[in-house]
Amino acid sequence: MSVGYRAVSWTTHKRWYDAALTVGVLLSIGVYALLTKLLYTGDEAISDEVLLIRSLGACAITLLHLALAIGPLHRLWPETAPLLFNRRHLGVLTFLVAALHAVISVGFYHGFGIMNPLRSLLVNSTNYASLQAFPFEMLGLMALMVLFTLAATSHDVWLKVLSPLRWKRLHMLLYPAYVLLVGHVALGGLQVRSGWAAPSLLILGAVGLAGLHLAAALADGRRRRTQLPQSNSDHPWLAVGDVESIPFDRARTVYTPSGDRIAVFRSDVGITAIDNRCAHQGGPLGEGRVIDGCITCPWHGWQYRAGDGCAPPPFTEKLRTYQVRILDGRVQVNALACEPGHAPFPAVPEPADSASTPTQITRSGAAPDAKPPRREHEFYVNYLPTGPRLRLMAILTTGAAMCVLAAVAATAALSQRSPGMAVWDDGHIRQFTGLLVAAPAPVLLTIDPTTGQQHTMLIVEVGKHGAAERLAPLIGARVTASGWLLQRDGRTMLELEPGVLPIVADPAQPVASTPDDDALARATTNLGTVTLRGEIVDAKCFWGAMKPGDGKTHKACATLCIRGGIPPVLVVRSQSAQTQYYLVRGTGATPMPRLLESLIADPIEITGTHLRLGDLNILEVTEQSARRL
Amino acid sequence: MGMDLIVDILLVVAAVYLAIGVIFGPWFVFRTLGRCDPGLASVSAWLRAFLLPAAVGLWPILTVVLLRRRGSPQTGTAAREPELQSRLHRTAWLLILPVSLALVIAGWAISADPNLVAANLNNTGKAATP
Repeated sequence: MSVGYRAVSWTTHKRWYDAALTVGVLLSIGVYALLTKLLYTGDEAISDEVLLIRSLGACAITLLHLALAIGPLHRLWPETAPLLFNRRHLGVLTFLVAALHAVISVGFYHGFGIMNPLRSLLVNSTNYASLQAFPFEMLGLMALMVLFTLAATSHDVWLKVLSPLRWKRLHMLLYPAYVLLVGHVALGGLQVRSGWAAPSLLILGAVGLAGLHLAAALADGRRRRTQLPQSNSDHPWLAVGDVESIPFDRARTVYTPSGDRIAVFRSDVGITAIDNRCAHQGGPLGEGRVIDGCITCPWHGWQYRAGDGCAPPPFTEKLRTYQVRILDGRVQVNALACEPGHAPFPAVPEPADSASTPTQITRSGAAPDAKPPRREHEFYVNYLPTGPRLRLMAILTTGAAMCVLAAVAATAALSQRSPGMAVWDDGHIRQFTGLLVAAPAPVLLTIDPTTGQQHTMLIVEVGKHGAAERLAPLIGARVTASGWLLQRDGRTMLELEPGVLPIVADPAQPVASTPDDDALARATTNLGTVTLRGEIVDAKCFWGAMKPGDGKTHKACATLCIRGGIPPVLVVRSQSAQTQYYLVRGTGATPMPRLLESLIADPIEITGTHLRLGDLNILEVTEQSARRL
Repeated sequence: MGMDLIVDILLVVAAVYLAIGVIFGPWFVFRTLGRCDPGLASVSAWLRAFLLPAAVGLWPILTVVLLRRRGSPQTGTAAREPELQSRLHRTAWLLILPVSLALVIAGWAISADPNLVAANLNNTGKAATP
């Protein structure tokens, strides 16, 4: 409250709450990881970093749904108050999980390249005009900024600094953040999943949350119609009802003509009236209880003395109070507020008042029958012991939340597409000798001595860098290269070992081509013009460095790789499930035209000249030769 | 190139924003917080550090708050009536639900990707002589 601000006011309940949240997050990530590892094994295994990114993303959006569900759930079932009491911890955790997802995503998809990862995030996918190619990362970035704002301002100090009204307005930004995140997932994560389960979950989440709000609105409406007197007269004294219609240590609320509500309490001090809005976050005090002589807010347990509306010392909050009187056994409250903290005389009911028969009040001012509450619920205060019903409810809601987290993680894991069989053997350094040619990316050309077949091996540097620049002086030479092998569908790539002398020319040969080498290098066959449908990817990621290394979520990474000199290849999947690769280059053995970079990772149709160098297909294209499908 | 320029400008603006926040944040949290409310004058250094991210990130809002409070120690506004607050949340969902559903359905529709399973469409060339 107003004094003794602390970073976190720990209570036993809060510790349990945070422990449950931690277990929930670990469960979600664990289920996702376990199922993915079981489903895709060996050469088909999804990269660990991709697995982490996806599991954290699924966890974050589930936590956001849970956080959004708490408000209406509490309206429907007041026993879920412990969830509401500590909701801010859930919100902060949601941000932390989302932030971790973002940091790892930016690190792996945008790091290790030729530009700053943040710059890469903004420039490597910019097709805002196409829904299919829309840079979904921007939606996530904007949502993360909102979540940061909400998490950073979640402490009560900011409530005080900004004022409750401004703080509440600021925290309404959660809704735009929700829409942004749904867009982020729909245009990003959904694009690399198959089946109906993942989109159905998102739809279920949105419809479920809206349904909870609708149900809460209906319940509130029923409560209002049956319990709340509403005055439309200008008379300052508003009818509340009979004395007995106000449950002991509880309140009834009454509308003033201006639309505000007054909470009229009956307690040991008599009948008193106070502003319905808690000074903390505007919680409905009329739904609170009198505990130890103090009106206690149902949201966060803030307290005010029933007599004067002042928070007990050392706290300093004061609420407006109202005069109350009893006429003929009927309670009336004056709509004109007293100064905050003023103590008007409480109305003390006579025995005859309490014994009087309740009379009907209509919405126009008369009091309704005092109906007993349908079901008495235990009142929860964070810093007080709880009863068995609340404990049971806490166990049930925690269990339900765990089930939701695990179920969403399982569904998201099971709906992943296979990344294909690819190997990045980064545990063993290997050596290969052959003729180095430029296509224009460096290619090591070898001949199998037994079969006489030509074999090609693309060469790249570590990270997202091509090797063309470093190997330029050695083009045309017979060299021995050492590094790590990447393999997919019979295609191979060598990631050069970083070091002082990564490429060593064979000492037996001069650094110049022999007549045989020349013949080998000229052995490029022109197979004519072809039109193909497929996807341009960066060869390194797709052949094993990142699994999966294709699709929408990999678009920015592929663009960064190709800009950094990793050879672009067109992946063409035939109807017989065979995959063919075409090294994409410009006419005259130049790098792929820049204009085609916007089509990387999109389904495209492309026309070009089909060349073959050894076992390597090459597609020579122009800027206008491709279109998005 | 146009987008590159826009991005460069954006990054510079973000860096300037952050730089101002880095200067403003500690000043606000360690020197000025007590002006907002006497109860905030004696908060611990640990809590002040806890408040730093928001002060760095939200310096424009906090500047406005400080300027408005000049001369009057407390201009805090009470929250809305809880019922109105609830109504606001529910009204928000009238907009959120259709937009969210439209996004998911659109995402679902474009995620079906049969185009990639396509053979060579029109191989008009013949093997050329090397």
